[in-house]
Amino acid sequence: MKILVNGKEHNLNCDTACCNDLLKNIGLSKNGTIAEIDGKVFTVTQFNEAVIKDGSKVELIKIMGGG
Amino acid sequence: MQKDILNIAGHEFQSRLFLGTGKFPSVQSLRDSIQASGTQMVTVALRRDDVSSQDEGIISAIDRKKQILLPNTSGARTAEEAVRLARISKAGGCGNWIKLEVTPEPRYLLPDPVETLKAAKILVEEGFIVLPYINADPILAKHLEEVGCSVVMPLGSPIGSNRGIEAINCIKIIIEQSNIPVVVDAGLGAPSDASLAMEIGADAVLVNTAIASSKNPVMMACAFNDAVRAGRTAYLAGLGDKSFYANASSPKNNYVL
Repeated sequence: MKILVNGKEHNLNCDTACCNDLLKNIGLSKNGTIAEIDGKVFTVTQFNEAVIKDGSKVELIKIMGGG
Repeated sequence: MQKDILNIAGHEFQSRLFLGTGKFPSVQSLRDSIQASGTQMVTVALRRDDVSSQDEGIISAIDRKKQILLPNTSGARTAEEAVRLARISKAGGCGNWIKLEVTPEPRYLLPDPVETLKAAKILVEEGFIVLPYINADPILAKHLEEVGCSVVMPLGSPIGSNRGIEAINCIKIIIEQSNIPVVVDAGLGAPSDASLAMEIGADAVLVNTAIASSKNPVMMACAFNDAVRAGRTAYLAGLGDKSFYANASSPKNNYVL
């Protein structure tokens, strides 16, 4: 399926996935990551239930240093 | 001396130095600087995650039992974008404190007053504790107070510029007229700038670049900690009057000569 991850097209070799699958696929650590999937926000502990489908828009957001 | 507590939205702060967490050379340096600064409020930013990210683990430097996490909406160019970032931050577990920043142009990163006020109204209604970053504009500060912001954060000079307090007279007016705490944010380049802000009656200051970009951030965090305390104590003690003419410190009679 084709999805959008942080504004860029991304292919996943399955029909549905959860956010943990996606992070594993792109090699991101879960530490401090927040996911917004089709407008809904998930924290790390909810990543198993964060369903990604064909056409999903995913934003992976991290807490960074800032003033 | 009586205990001097800063109260924001029902939370008590002994430290009047808020610390930004950007640009530190390492997570350990940030962790040590937080401790050295004595801060109880740290700001963070939200950004798209990517594999090359250098900020791995920044959240591990923050002890949320000791420091309030204050996510900012940096990067937002409109009220709508700022509100979206605030909602993501809250739903993402960062709490309901938000430093509202709407900066549509990148060269000076000056805040947009119209969009800031618009976003502040929405976020206050949604239950956020809103700390808006603003130009040193006394009228805007009153509007933000009226819509329910918990503090106002006028800039000393542009973000990260280390130029100090250029807008001092307008900040004095804001302090004089405000019924909510005034936190001088942005541009404070030296401990003396922070001390000056406190001497004129600011309730707190927010510092990031001056500490993080120092050759020794931990030592500089100590220096700002001292300066903020000194400035606050001087304000409480009351500064002496200024005069154009000299005023002799010793009696003007019975000279030996």
